[in-house]
Amino acid sequence: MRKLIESTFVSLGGDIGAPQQWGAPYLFGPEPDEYNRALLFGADALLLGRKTYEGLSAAYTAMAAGEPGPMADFVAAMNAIPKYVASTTLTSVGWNATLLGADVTGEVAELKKQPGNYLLKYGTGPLDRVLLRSGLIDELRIWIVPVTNGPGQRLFEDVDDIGLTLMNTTTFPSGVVVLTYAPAGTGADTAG
Amino acid sequence: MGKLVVSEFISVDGIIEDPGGAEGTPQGGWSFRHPAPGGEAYKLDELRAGDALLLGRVTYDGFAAAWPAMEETTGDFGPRMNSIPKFVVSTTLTEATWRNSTVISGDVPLQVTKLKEQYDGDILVYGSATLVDTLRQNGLVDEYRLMVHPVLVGSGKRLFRDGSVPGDLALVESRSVGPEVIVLTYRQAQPAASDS
Repeated sequence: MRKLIESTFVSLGGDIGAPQQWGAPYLFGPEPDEYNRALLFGADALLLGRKTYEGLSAAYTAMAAGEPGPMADFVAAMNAIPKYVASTTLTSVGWNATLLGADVTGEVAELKKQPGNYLLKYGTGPLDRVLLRSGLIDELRIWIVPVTNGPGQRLFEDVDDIGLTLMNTTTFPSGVVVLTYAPAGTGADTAG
Repeated sequence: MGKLVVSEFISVDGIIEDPGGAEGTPQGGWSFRHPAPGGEAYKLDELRAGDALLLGRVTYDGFAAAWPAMEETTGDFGPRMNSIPKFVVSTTLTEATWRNSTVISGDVPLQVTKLKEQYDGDILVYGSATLVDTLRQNGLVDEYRLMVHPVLVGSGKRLFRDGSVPGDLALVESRSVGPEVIVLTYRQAQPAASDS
């Protein structure tokens, strides 16, 4: 049984759109870089919504073609790792990705049943609504960036009112706090 | 010079509306679902350090309806909540009947600036989403204390609403007040050096 861990950047104002613009000074640095490395290198595969897939595949393909930077190992791992993409509009995907079919929750549940390390989901969006409702997300790692930007695009728009369990708090010198939550109704409690 | 402190119960998705359920919204009451044993002492220390409350009309109405009856049932909270000077910002209220209350209308930023000059201790703002927006846009908020509750509420008034002007804050403290509840304290980041 593999876990599904979601890692997402959000402003204090609840904004999840364009963190590369408002979050960059806070999200990069030795400590967050190490955290991100550990999170990615520990994962078997990425699970992505369509928009995140399009943004990340374009960005990391371009980065791999440019001069290697201090995160070259991370860039290489991002390009190499298997990905699963949920989309109702895409008909084909590249970037070592597999397109999920109409039964997204069923397929994700099947993926989780396989042995190995966790699945990692970057970004939040419409896919989270069904994943949270189905109890398929085991951990949310919410990076709270100390900027007040309002939406934008909102964190967990229109999700049902759900409870979370705080598992861990990590604070970086830049003022970013990573809150790790387990959504209610996931894990062993509902395994039966 | 008083410090203006915005102290909020907030959900993980940034909602501050009706944490206690007194406003009767469908989602209300979410702040009671998760125990925060350290939160009570935290809020009491905060209240004791306060010289005045500054409230929007909706929050004021909820408090004014609830606190007078809680004078003797809430330990040290009730007596202080009822006695502390209160300022309510409203264009519709003409009279505020909760003990020691004054209505503020007209040029709110100017009047709040005067309040900050008048007091030395903290001026506490609870709830009051609309007022907080005005205060923030006018650069009057010195500190945010956000007691983050482990819930996704989904809809309701937000601390930083749509169209908020981007701004940077500095994290001052992260502290646990319960197994699931933390308080994040932010101050205005130092403004960038100006050329002029």
